Amino acid sequence: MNDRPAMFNVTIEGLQATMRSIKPGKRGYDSALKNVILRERDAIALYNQLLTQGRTLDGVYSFESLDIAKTFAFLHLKSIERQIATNLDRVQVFNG
Amino acid sequence: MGSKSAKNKKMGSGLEVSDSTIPSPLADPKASKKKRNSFYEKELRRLHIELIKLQEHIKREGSKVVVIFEGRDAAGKGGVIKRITEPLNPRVCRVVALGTPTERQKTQWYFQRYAAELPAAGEMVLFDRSWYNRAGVERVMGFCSDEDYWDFLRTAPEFERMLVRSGITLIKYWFSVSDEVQEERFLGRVEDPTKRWKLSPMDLESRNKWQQYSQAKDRMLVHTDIEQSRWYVVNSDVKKRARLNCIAHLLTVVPHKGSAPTKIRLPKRSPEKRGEDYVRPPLSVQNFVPEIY
Repeated sequence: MNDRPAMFNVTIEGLQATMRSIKPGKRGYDSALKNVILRERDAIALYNQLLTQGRTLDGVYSFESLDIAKTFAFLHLKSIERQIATNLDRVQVFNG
Repeated sequence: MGSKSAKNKKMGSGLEVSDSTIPSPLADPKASKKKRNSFYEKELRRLHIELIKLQEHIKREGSKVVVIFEGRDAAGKGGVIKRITEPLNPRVCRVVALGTPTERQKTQWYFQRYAAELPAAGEMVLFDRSWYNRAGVERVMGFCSDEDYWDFLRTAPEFERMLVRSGITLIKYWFSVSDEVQEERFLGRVEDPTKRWKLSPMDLESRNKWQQYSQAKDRMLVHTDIEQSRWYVVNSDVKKRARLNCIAHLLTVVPHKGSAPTKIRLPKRSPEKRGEDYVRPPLSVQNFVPEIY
């Protein structure tokens, strides 16, 4: 029982992405385990799918490894950052 | 002239592709070696002329171009770099292949030693491996901390956006080679004494970490493929095909116009300037290289 690995949850709410690790036996572990994303490529595919469908990313996502969870959170936050950077570029070059 | 242009099709940014490239003998397994080689040489020559046009454009417009070549060992990065630089002026196009950082460099900002190599106006720099070492070999071989790695994935796009905003055109190529072909090339390097230097103990060790490299590569591409500087993947299982595809692509993504330098007529030398005030010293006073061939 104890040799089961911890899960990593990423909660996305608007501009925020919060990370949490859930150890076996703790509340939420079983539900995380049920929906866990095991492979990085699945995490990326899910992210792209949600994005292309124009759906909000808001929700809780569970991942088997910290790296995969970080990648998912990064993708969300970097996309916001990218939008801001593009906006900044447009504002910066605007000369009336 | 008319028939020649009729045989050519223009690609996106003006690079002409001759009809003879479709279908390419390099993609045809039934094509003879002779046919493939002659096609390759002909196309390479044509692309070299286009590269010279690009070089003239870069010089004329004062452009700054950075091309990054990444990929596994033996993926063919060096080969394509060699074919790009071959016809070009080393003052315009230079290659940067940095070794392991010194102790001092290790204490610097990670991008510092790469930033020092960025082009001035009228230059094109080809990076044979680049700052992406951190997302590849350093990550897989454990040469950087987790913190350094994630910081790189965060900052590399920012760094590159800054470069692009400063007027640099940045193009990134990933050379994709299959497990089997890499193994074949490694064997070739082991056998050939002129290629053995290309194999480092690190390369041999990285052979055992194929999957980890794949994961690191996938993640790197996802995190750092940005609108301002895209990653382009070159299928490099067939070397010659990869070279032509990469050069042809490079020519389409770096906007350039104009022509190769026009023909020069060599003027006749004025006889009065030759050999009047000058007498060559006896050959015995100079150290000649022995003519053993």
